[in-house]
Amino acid sequence: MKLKDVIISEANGEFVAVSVGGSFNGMLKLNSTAAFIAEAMQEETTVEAIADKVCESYEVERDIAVKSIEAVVEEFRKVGLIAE
Amino acid sequence: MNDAVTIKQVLDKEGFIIHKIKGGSMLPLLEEKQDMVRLEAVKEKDKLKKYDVPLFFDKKTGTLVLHRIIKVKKDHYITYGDNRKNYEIVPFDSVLAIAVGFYKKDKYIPCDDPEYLKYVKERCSSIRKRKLYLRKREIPAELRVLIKLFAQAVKNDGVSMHVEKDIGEDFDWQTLYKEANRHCIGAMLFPYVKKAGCPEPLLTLWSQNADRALRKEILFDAERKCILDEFEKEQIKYILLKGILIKDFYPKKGIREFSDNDFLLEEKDLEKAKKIMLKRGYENKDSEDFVDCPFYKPPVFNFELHKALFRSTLPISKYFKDTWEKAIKDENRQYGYHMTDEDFYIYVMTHFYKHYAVNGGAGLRYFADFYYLNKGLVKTEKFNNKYVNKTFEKIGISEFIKKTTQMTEQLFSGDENLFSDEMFAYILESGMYGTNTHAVANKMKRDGKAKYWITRLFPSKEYMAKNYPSVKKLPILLPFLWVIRLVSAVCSKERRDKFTEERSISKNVENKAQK
Repeated sequence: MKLKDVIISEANGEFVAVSVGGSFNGMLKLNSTAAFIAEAMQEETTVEAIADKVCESYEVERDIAVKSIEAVVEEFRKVGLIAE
Repeated sequence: MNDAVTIKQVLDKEGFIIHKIKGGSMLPLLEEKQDMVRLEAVKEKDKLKKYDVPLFFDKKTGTLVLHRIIKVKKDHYITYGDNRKNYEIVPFDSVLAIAVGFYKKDKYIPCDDPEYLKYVKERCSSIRKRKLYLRKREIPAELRVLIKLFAQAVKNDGVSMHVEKDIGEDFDWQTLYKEANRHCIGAMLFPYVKKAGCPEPLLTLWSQNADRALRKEILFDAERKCILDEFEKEQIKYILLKGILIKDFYPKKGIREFSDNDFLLEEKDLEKAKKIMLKRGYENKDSEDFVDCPFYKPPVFNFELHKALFRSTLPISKYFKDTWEKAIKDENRQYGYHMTDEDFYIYVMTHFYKHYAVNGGAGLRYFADFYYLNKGLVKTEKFNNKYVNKTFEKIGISEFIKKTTQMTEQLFSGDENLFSDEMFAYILESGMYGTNTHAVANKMKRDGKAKYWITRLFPSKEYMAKNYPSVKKLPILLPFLWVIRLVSAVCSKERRDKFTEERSISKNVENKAQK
């Protein structure tokens, strides 16, 4: 899975995800964890691969990381940002 | 007349009378139903002085009036209400009494009180001062709040402009919202209208608009990078113009609203650039005219490719013919160039002038551009102000720059005298992209009425080619097409109404010129 034509941008101390050309005409405001996950999803990847990166960068237990990643991925999927 | 008789009787008996104020013609000095005036009988009715406030019988209206003497003539006075534009001619024998003092919230203020005399001097001492004061008072609360919140947003120094007293029960938030959008400052104002108490659901709509502005900027930044990468591949030289660079002087992303991005290209590369844009899915109108050649693509994209900074028909264009000779190569791009800071500033301010004086007007956002450019560019040590000022003089816009500087200082220091400034009123009316009324009036002032109407009724071949492309190949058709155009205009209610509007503008321009 990967994000489909999505720009992740830092703006005024926040992270935002904007879709280019998809059906989602809005903008998602992301916390730093969600932004990290979104960046990892700019290339073809899996939940497990993202979890590896999250655990490398943050002091967090793997199962908690996986749950967070799955929640964020689901939010992206709801607004049609994911190319499966 | 009964009131006059009664008051006269009291004055004859007591020598004075204290009376409640009716009407608002003497605001802000005297408030109806709240304040009172002490009137004394006048022995020598022809001996009153300028700025005295007599009570007189107005034969025209059949009422008693309490207004201020502005001029003393041989056999009459000229009076105005402090809050009125129209004057009265008051024969000496119409005067019944003279005000000697006022009761404001039960405090007595005699007419020789220093604070009262200061009020008279500031508000009433000349027709011009009175008009300026009245014009200031006419600005609706919604515009006052717009201006104050704008100043607060741009300065962002934590100093409040105190809009609470302007936001009464009747305050129209929708009008504030519309005006903010008309001046392209809605996104900038959002945090401040929230604090000022903007109600729902308008607040949510405003928030969504602010988010849309940020999204638009992010999308444009990404798309512009892709387009410039293609230009680099095709060896097309380019200079980024206006908002693409100005926005980086703003303190936050997404608060400088805009409609498009502009590139300056060399004429030889225009067709190549056009092919790139079309390949990227853009639609293009006016493909023959590369002075302002727009390319559109959903959801938001609008890029303009320019072969010149200004149309060659504008006199100011001759000062910008050497842009490429003076341009400096970008460090990180092979075909990207930029103007010097000074030339960039000159160009931006001339562009502002063009919108203000030549097109239909310019809006408040230009003041934010001016403020941030001055802060981040002009006031830096290396900036060559001498060269810039000399160039403004050559172009003929020094007075405009001076006036803009003065208005910017007033705007951001909260000086409310700005509200009565004619140029500022024009800018408030204009909005960001000007109005048709202003555009027509500017053209008439520039070209003269006769030339304006001739070109309107008998436009050039290039203008006619937009709706009648056949005239390009067969110019002989031009006179026939003029006739067709005139006949179809007569048959169209919309165009007849437009003609009536332009005639009215023409009359206004003539009247103003005669004054």
